[in-house]
Amino acid sequence: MKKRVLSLVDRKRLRDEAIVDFKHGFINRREFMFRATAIGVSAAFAGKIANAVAAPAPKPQRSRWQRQAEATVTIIKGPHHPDDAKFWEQMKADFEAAHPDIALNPTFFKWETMDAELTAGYASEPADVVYLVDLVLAKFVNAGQVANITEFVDAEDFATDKAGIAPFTWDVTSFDGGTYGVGALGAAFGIFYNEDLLEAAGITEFPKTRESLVEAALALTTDEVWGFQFRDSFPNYAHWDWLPYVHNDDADVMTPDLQAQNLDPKAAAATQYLADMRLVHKVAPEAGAYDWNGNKALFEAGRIAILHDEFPQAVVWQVDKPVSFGLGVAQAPATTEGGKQTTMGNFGYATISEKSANQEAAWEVVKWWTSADVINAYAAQIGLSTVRVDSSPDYTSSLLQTVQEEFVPTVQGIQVTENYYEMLTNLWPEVDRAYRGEQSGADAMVKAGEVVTGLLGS
Amino acid sequence: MGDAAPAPITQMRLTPAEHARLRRQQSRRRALVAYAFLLPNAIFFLAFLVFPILFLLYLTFHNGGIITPAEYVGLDNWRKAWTDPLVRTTIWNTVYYCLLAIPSVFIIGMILALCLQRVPHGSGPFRSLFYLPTLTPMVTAALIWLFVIQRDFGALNIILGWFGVPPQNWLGNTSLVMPTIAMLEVWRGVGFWTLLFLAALLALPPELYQAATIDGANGWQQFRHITLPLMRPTFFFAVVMATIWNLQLFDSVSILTDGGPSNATATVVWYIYKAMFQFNDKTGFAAALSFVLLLFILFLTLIEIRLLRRRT
Repeated sequence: MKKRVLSLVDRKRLRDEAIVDFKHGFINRREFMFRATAIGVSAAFAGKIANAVAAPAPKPQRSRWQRQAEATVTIIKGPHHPDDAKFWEQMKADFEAAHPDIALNPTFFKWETMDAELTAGYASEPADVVYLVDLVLAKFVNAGQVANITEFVDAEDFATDKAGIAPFTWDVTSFDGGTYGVGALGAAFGIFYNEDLLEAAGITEFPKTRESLVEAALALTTDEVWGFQFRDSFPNYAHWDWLPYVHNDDADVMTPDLQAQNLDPKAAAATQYLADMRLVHKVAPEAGAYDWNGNKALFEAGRIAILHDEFPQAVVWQVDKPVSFGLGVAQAPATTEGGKQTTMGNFGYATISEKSANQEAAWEVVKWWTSADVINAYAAQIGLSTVRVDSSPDYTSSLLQTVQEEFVPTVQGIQVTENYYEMLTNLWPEVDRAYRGEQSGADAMVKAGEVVTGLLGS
Repeated sequence: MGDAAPAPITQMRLTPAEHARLRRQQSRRRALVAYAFLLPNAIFFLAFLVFPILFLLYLTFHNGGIITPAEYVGLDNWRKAWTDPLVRTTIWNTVYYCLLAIPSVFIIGMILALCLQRVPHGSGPFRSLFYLPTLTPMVTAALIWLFVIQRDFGALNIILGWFGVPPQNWLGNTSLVMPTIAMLEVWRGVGFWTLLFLAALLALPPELYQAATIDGANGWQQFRHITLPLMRPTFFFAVVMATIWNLQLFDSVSILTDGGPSNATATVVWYIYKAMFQFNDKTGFAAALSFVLLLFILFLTLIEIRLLRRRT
């Protein structure tokens, strides 16, 4: 077939009409540019892809002057002190000096957004070592995000350290026969009292029973001073002040086997006792009148004589910003003379992420951090308790030393189950209503028991 | 080959079919260009709105799915959302808060806007001043308010004390706590609504007011019969947006009360957050609650649109 030869006029017309006429082998300039660009881009991409597929894996670039660790272990925890990042810089240097083949990368989550940050982290790329408090430990273990470290913990080289850590912590970290964490730090909660006010009221020894505490609080209460105060709102962790009274009555959120609720009826008296302090004896402000910081401020000002709080506060009131009166610490009173006195404690555990690619290196970090020398020195810096029973931190606060040596061994911690936090969240409004006099302690515990029962095994 | 006569030029004319084909081709090309320009936005829309909503819907029929593998549970989460008494409490609390906050912020915003409208010169600093709380981060605002409502030395109780009212337990009293939260949110939001209403007021035609004045209408009559009707489109926008925003109340509640006391400030979003991040394996339930909220907002917005658009 003969090819038709177009005149210049025809060519111009076709070009002007911008018509692609493949039949005659013409293409307008715009189309040409478009196709040329498309071909160029495609070729460049194809080249890149071919290069990526065909080329050998690049060798890691190492700087000659910089020591390169074989593994980098990231640890994440909440800050325990305003200068925590500075403390960890020093600890990182110490660790890396002792372990030249492991680089340590300390990071922090915010306590207020801990749950969200940890959930997001576990859903993507979690840190190798995660500091989990007992309230959330079970949840993440249950979700399969925490590595079973039984093999490491039971190894011979850890036997001495294992024996030096409080036995209750091994109960907390044991799930289905496996061990999922190593106890590190914690805070114990109890009572601070103003020795000067007690002395002025003629009280020479801190009350050891509920009845004597009421008498003391009545003697201490004046127009200017509240005899007794405890936290009552959930965001202020009021449950830590309620639980020792519950524990002293052999009650708890659940039975020891975690199979049934253990609040109704055993915790009714404890709840009613605390409610009566506000409503009947009127030795404490009405519920909700002051938040946690408000309580502390009033105590510092000498307007609260006996205050439930967290023992690490002893460092503030004894060392950092000493109060102007004699300060004492005590446990929640026993129900009756000679009865059980427990201390509430909330502890944190060093765990290794299931997804960590450096579990052995991570274990080196856990082992090192929880060792007596390291954790005791760190606990003394930040003013928290440790779970070591073979040694004690050298605290700057003598009261914290007392707490560590006398009260921490009597700690009855939380019951570690995956629904514990939800149980506390949902049962607390019932306790709160009892504190407000909207229902009796017994009724509150009936409803709280129903809440716990409803969440058991859910 | 060389001696063939060139074809007459008339043969190059396009047939109607060819013309139509080329026209379609050109129209397709133009559409493709338009889509190419829309693509970046569409990608974001799909990736950050449509996909999450669809994923959320998927999660409502499952347990887990974030840090545990998703397990199909059918309508269980929807059933729980329907029967859980705390869900009803949170919905009621959220609606109660909206009923307190939205009318208050509109009335105060409108009054301030009317005042600013009448300031001939120098209203700029006042506008900035009113808008300042809106720019304040929630945590800072909450801390400021903790001092304002403090029982012993808070400004509010001191002022009430001048009138013989005893100190109130603003955040600790179950009856007062939600109005207190609403008060904080009104304080934070009023600047925004004031400026919005002021902009609408300044855009109203002055001739109408001049005519009304000549006709003998007083200030209230002008406001009632001119200002309010002409501002309906602004109110329409304001009501819809305020409803959407306020139904999502979370940050002030989370910072100041965490839902307490006795669940008096437990809102829907607060419960979603708890279920999603703090409770064990309640992702599906949180997703179902989120959907309930989404549908609730959609329902209320549609009602508002119907009611207000008809009048507008």
